[in-house]
Amino acid sequence: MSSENNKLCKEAVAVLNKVWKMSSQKAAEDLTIMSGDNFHLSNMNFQQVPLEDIPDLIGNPEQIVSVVMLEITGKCKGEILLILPEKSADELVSILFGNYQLSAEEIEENRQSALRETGNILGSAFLNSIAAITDMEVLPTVPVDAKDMTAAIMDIIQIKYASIGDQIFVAESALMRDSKPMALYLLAIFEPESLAEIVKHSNRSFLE
Amino acid sequence: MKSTDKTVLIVDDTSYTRVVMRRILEPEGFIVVAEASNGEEAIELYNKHKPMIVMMDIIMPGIDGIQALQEIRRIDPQSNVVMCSSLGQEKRLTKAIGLGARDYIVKPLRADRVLAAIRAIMLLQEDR
Repeated sequence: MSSENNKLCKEAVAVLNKVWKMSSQKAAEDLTIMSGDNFHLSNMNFQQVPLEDIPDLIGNPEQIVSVVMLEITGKCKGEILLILPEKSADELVSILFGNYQLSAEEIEENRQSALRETGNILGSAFLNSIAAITDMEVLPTVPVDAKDMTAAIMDIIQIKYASIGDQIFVAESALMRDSKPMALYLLAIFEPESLAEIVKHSNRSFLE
Repeated sequence: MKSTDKTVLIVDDTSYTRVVMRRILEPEGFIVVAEASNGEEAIELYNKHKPMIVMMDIIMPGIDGIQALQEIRRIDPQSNVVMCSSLGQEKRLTKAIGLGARDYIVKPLRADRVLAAIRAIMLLQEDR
């Protein structure tokens, strides 16, 4: 990686960490409102990870995960993925439906939808914070959800973003409810020009 | 349209959101006459049921909430449509209000906000 690219990625990590700090409280508040249960999100530190290393980072390549993907359009282009290992997804679904007295069948029918809405809330909060600090147009599309092995999900991303190379930013966090953590991962993928623009337009005082 | 009419059409591509909305409305005596998951279904179901209120998501695949709002308002200028959207959709919300949406709600759905929006519309209906 060139030294210029290296510098860009280091600055990008700093920006993304600050963005997460800005957006996580709002995201947790929104999840609390949505579910009626008290959530908060643990700190998240982004790191730059080669695409092929991500399945091992999350668990193992054959682990089943639920994923919500928000493509980013507008001046900023890329994708945000929220990845929940199966155990976390099951626990979260149980909490989201806890106050609604639904049958097991109704819960199963609406399971992926509930996870998609969670991904929408977390992803939108994150992207809105990017828009706020850069004054760029950052528009998420309709969220798409999937449930598959981690390796299979990464294969899709690799095909879609072959030109991105190593510019994938991953952070591990946890949704906390009553001190019980549910692991989750946020992947932020930006087209190179968009990443440069985000760093360039970030408020300098915001980074300090 | 009678002011005692408490019929609602819920339009959202996320079934979980439709469940949450229904759970807010039904205990308060509102009758969910139908649910739609996209704009095309919304228009069709509006024509069929002519509900008092439409709770309309903005971003949906295919015909989105803005297009569906336009068509419903064209079919029935007296229609009452409340737009629902995530934060960050201010431009679309402004456009929707300009096209005749009665109000908007920013997600996540809060029972007090949803009910306040609908009751305000019902009061306006009584005054007409």
